[in-house]
Amino acid sequence: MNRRFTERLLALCSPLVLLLVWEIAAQVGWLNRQFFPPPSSILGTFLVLWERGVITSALWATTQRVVVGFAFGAIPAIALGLVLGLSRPLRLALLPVANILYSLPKIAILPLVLLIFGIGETSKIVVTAISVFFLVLLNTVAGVQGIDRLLFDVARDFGANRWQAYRTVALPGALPLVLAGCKLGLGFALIVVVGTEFVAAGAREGVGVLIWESWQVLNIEAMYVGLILTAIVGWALNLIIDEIEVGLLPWRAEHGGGITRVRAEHRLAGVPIRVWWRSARPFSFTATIIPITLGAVIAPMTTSWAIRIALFFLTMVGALFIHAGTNMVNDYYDHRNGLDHADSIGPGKAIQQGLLSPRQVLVGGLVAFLIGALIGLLLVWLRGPAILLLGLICLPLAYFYTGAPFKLAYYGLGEILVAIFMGPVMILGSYYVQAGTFGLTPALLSLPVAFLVAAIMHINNLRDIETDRERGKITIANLLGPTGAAWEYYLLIFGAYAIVAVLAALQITAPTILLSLITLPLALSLVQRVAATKEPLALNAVLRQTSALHLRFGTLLIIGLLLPLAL
Amino acid sequence: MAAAPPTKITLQQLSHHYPAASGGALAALQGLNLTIRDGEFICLLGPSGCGKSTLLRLLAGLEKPTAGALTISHNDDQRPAQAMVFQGPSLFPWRTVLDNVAYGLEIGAGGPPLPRPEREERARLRIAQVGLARFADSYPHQLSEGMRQRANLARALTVNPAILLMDEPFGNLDEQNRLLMQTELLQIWQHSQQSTTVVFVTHSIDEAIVLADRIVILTPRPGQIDAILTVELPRPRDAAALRGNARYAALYAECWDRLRTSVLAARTADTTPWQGLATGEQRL
Repeated sequence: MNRRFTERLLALCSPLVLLLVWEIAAQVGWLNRQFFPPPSSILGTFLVLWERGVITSALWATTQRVVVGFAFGAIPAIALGLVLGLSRPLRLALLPVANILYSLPKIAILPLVLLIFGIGETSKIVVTAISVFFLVLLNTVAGVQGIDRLLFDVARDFGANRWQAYRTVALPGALPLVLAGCKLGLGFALIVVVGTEFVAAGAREGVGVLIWESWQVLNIEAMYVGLILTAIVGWALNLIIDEIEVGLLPWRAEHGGGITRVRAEHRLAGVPIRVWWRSARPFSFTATIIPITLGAVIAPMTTSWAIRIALFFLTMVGALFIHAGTNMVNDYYDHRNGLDHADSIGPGKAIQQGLLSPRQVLVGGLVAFLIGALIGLLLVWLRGPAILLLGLICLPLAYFYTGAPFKLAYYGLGEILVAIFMGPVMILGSYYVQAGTFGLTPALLSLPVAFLVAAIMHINNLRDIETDRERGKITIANLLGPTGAAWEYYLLIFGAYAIVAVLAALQITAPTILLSLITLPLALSLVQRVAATKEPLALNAVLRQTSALHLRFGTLLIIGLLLPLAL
Repeated sequence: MAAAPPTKITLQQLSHHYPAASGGALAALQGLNLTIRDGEFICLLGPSGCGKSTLLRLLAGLEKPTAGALTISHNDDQRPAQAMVFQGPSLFPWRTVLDNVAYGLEIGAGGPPLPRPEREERARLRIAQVGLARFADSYPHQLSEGMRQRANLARALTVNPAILLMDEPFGNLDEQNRLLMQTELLQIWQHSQQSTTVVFVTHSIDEAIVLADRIVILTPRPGQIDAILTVELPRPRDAAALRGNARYAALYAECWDRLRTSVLAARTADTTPWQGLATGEQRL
């Protein structure tokens, strides 16, 4: 613990110390200011350039060239790489050529490309694309060839055709190396773009242009600004592709080894952040994201866009913390009351899996509440006391949802509470933060969302109807019995659609909210399946699908509300 | 008396050769004649490299026989003709257990591809059957070898194949897990009213006797049928209790006798016995 702290301090301080030494050395005159201007004057130049809009336009121009050039190079390279990886004759015919061209430094062909495409954007994109192409191509071929042949046999044995084998074996199997190639390719793309910008070739904006022009007029500070910007672009692109990699390769992220970089494990209170994140049950967050977004979207414009977005962001983060806290406290009490056990079929929870102790989960949940409450107070200060009222009602109910001594969810109130909070309360609250008032439209629009979130809870209780009864947890589902509970489910699902239809018919909202009816086939199939079976494992699948329905329905509702604004 | 069940698989003078690295051909199988009845449990027993795996690959349609005929009678469009439990790490490392087990239904083995909710529902039932319900969302590298092999079995069973091909599926398991898996496999097979034909490759004499209706003993390279033994032990069988049975002891002795003789004969005939073919067989 102590050593970690020292290490971090070192990592944080060394650049600062370096900057300080540089500053002093330049000011005192130990360093030639013509080549090494003090950091403070570089910062000054940066601010001047920022105000003139040079920085943003340079960043935008360069990033755009890198990304477009990269895309034009990488996408065909991946497609061709998959084909070459699988076809031996084509590989034998084309790979030697690719290897020779690969070893040619691509910037060397810039003059040729300039001749063909002329001076302008096209030639920059073409050179960048070519330099990315070969890197990604060779990596993709290697990726496909590295896949165990046995896996292709498995695909064939199950009758996969050529296209299916591509999609289910070659592509996912080659992906780690494809991404490694993309990473290298992005670095190359940046080098080539900055290089082409040096030669100017008709560009008036870009970090390379900034560096080159500063050199020509001997504006050293601006040159340094250009260098810093280049580093920022490179660093940001790397960060993005790292995140994409972790998202696309969940099966490798935990390996750490191999081609995928070993992720430094950040810890909070001695527990990896990943574990905290998991214990908050993030897959359920859509139940908060949808109503908060919906409320914000329909609020009339009363402030500037920047303030609007900042307020939305604050509301979302605060609500998510309260949601996470509720989940964790709920976990703690479900565990204590013996409702979860090792072979529960619901999604795994942190305590059951031994990732966290019950106490840690409880404390984590309370801290999440605290952070949520602090953000809430900030919103109160910004937008008025009505938020305070909402918070004062919400927080205790969120805790006593399963918390002793009230344990509301154990007395049949679970669905109703969830429906109220993740429907009207969140939507009206988010609306109020933006608009400063409440309104009838958001209240009405919150109903279908409330119905669907109640359906999620309800199907969960229907699944657990037997085990809950044994353990003395009362839910609407076990009060109604399987058949009655199934009917409630139908009512909730179809109720949501009926309300949307009525709202559109009465012209209370734009007719575009009918877009959400696209999800009807999914809803119908879910209803059919609940009618057909009460088997817990099958209902578990219905549960997942119901929350998917909530997400899709909600998203389409939001899009439907935004469409008239966009048109 | 019920009529004898119809024939499921027929091999007539079946031979298979692989191209050898040095040119020419390596004979893996030579002149096999065999009839397998519908719903029968067959164990292919033989030393490493005798072409057992090759025979499975031929049955799976992954290779075409060089000579002779292989006929599978299959006219049920509700289920695929066969599915294989492969030897070695054959789960897709990038898919969760659930997605691995649902793979056949996603591809459309034995029918049209199923939409996600349906195939996941069926896969989950299979996963629960092999005792992996809690690990449905885990990736293969997070599981033990025994659990991976269960998932592997579940993946083949999910498509409900008419013929289940198993290539030394329990070869890498420890003794306890092996016994458990054998018992579970027999239960699952009997649960299906023995409507599934099983062709099971093993080099364990004990395993063959515990599982099979008939044991087909193959000779070392090139694989030929040495003997076909009928295992008349009553079902359901208890792998542990079986060991004390007199018939078990006699069968064990007979199998061992045949294997020993042929392995020794091959050793004297060839200074580098089946190694070359063994590697060729796995990599091809």
